[in-house]
Order: sequence, then structure tokens, then C-alpha cells
Amino acid sequence: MKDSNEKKVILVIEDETPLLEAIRRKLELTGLSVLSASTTEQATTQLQDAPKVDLIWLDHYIFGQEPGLLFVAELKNDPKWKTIPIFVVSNASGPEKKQAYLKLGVDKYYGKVDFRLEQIVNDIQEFLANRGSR
Amino acid sequence: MRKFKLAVEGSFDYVLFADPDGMILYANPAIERITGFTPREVLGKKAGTKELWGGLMGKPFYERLWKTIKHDKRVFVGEVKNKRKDGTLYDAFHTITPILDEKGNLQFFLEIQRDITHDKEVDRAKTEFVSLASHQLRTPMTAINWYSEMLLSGDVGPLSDEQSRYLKEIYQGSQRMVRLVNDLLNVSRLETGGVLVEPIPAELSPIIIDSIKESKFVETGKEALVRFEKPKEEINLAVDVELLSQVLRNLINNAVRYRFDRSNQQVEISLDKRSVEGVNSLVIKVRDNGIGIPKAEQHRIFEKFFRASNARKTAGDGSGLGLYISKTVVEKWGGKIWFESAEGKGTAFYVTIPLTGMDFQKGEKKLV
Repeated sequence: MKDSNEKKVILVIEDETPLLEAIRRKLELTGLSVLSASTTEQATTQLQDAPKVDLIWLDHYIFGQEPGLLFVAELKNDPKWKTIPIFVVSNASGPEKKQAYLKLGVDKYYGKVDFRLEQIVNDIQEFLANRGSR
Repeated sequence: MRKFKLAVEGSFDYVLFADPDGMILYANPAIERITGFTPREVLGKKAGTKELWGGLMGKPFYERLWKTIKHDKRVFVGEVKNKRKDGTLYDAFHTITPILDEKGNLQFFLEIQRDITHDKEVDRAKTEFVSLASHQLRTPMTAINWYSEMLLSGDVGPLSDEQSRYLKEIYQGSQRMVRLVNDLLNVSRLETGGVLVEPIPAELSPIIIDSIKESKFVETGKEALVRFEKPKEEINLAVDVELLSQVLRNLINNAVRYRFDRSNQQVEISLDKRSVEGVNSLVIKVRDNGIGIPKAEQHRIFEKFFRASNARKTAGDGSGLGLYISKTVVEKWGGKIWFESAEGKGTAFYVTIPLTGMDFQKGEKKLV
């Protein structure tokens, strides 16, 4: 068992409680540590308070609004946070949003209904492992 | 004669006569309601130009229009965006009919135009509704998907065989719903015409090979089931890769799905260059030896939600939207789609792309 300080920390920003619950459980099952936020404001507070965040899991629609793009733009403009990898897991349909996010520099974009939770979590594990060994 | 005059003057749609050069000879009073110009103001001016209500559609549109009515002497029918006298835009549906004498010489043109701005707005509202509804559906579908997935993979403890069989049904039902919602969303995007077609030069073979791999009903490791005869010389063409791949995946999925049994199944894709209805085209053929389409139902196969009786028996869960979507997409890029089929023997679908490349279409949306 790893020391909890060594665990990678994922900040999940998702406003739908049932989905957040599933994501948290799945991530924790694979040995990751989870912080959560249901608004981008909460997420900012989490980022400021947490000792470290290794990766951000971001939903696109949050309470019917679309603050995700703006939030990513802010992160990417901030020297403290711009290197944190971002995985967008969105329920927006159509590839227009995907292109917008990739342009802003997010690392991966998933359509929620098109992917198994397992696959996204595996991709995160792999991504962090590759990053660690660089 | 007087009655005819009254009918034309009283028409709700505007009615206009123009000489073979497009100079307006007559316009009824409705022209003022629709365009803002009075009949007197437009007399002697050229119809459909910037000076009046036209000129917004781009050169190729007007070239096609004039070729149709003046050179081919055929009726031109279509939607057009125009500008009223006060500068506001409106959508219209118009027909321009060349009127010929007994010898077939052009005498004048008759144009009838209807303002469809309101109809278009209603249409947009409907599409917006479908799009919003599909977003709303995505969240609960994701919850069903992810929770049943976690249960099935034993994340919260083992399941009995029966439990996991039932759960699989829930999971598959949800997957089917996802496909249906995506199809509906695509239909609504296509029907309001906002779909972008953005051709860029590309090699065709890799697109076809990828489409085979990405087809949902082609099982991983069994891609060899679908044989692709690579052309001896690579074909390079301006295509919208996403749209082409969408159509190919759909045809491949159908070819693989509607089969008798998997043991002797054959699906073949081949390419050919030839003239189709006067257009030099690349013809993509997707042929299978599956269940075929019953003759009596062939004329309905591209209809929205239509599924052939034998297809419904073979696979219960199709949406009946795939071929409708494919046809709409192919026609948007300036191609044709048709098929040859015999029940019990198989089907060959043909899709064309003009050798000059796909037609560019303005739009802000892509397909899901």
C-alpha cells in the first residue's frame, strides 16, 4: 500500500452528483485520490488549498451553463496551474466543442455517453504513468 | 382574361414576369409586402440583383440559376436568401419558369416567390428543441451506462449469472438509446441545413481502411471480413473526411449486420472512376452477400425511420435513420447514392463523389 502522500490527486469538476459518485469510486478503486467540485469557483478554491493536483477532470456543462471553456482558458493563463493536465469529459454533442477545447490545450476530450468509465480511468492512469517517467 | 388578372393581382405570393434578360415586365402588389419594393419601382430593373432584393447567394448559385432557366430552359426551384428594401433579410422559396413559344423559343420568365422566413424560424426552433432534449438525455444515459458498467465489472462485488445477464440487457438498451439519440441529433442538424461540408485533399484508401476499423458492428480482430480492393494508384480527392467516414461506416455496418450467418459472410469495398449522370465521379461500392432488400420495399429504403421487414427480423434494434442520414449527407456534398439488391442474395450500395471534389457547403455544425 502506497503512502497517501504519494497517491496521485485528481480534481473532478462535475455537477451531477450520481455521475460524480461513480467517477470518484472508479478512480479510488484504481488507487487515485479524488477531490471534487461542482462549480468552477469551488474548483479554483480546491486548486488554491490543495497541496497538489495531478490532473483535472472537467465537465463541460455545469448547472446548465458552459463555463468549462472559460475555466480552461484561465488555467492555461496562470503560470501556477497551466501545466496541470486536463481531461474534458463532456456531454456536449458534436465535435465543435472538442476542437475548441483541444485548441485551448486540454490533453484529452471524451464524449460522456460514448466512452466506458473504465477506459477514461485507464487512460488517466497511463497518462500519469508516462508523465511520471519523463 | 379578367379573372386571370384578378387572380394574379390578388395572389399572396409575389408573381413576376421578366424578359429573357431578366428585365421586369410586370410584378403584382404582393411584391411590396415581401420585398418592400412597389411594383412601379421594380419595372424595367433586373430581377434578383443587388439593386433590388437579390445578389446575396454567391456567384455559383446565380450561374446555376441562369443556366437552368435560360440555357436548359427548365424550371428552377429552390430556397433563396434575399434582402428587403429596408435592409432586413428574408428567406424565400421560389420557382422560375421559362415560358416558351410553340417553336421552343424563350418568350419570358415567370417567377413566383413565397416568403418562408417564419416557416424557417419554426423549423429552427424545432431543431433547437431536439438538440436541447438530446443534451438532457445524455446525463441520465451516462448514469445508466457507467453504473451498469461498474456493476458488471464487479467493482462493488460479484453478481450472479442471472443478475449479470439482466444487467447486460440494461447496458445494451442504454447503448441503443445513445445511438438513437445521436441519429436523431444528426437528422435535426442535417434538416436545418447548418451542416458544414469542408473538403480538403486526402488519400482515399486510408479513410476507407479506418472506416472499416471504426464500424461498430465490425468486431475487433475480424476486420478481414470486410475486403477492400485497394486501387493500384492511390486516389487523391478533396473530401470532408468526417462525413465520408460517417457514410462509409453506416454502409459497412449495414452490410455486416444484415447477414445470414457469419461463416460465409463477404463484404467487399471497391473503387471505380466513371461518369454518373454526366458527372465524372469516383464510385465507391460496398457489396455484401447478406439478406438483401425485398423488391416491394426497395423504393422506401431511404425514408426516415423505414426498415425493411427482413432487416427488422434480423436485428431488432436499428433506428431506420442510417440510410436517410447517408443519402442526405451524400447529396449535400454533390454526390449520388443508390443500390442494387436481391432478397436472399445480397446488396450493393454505390456512393459517388465528383472527381472535382466534394461541394463546399457553408455551415456551423458538424455531425455527431
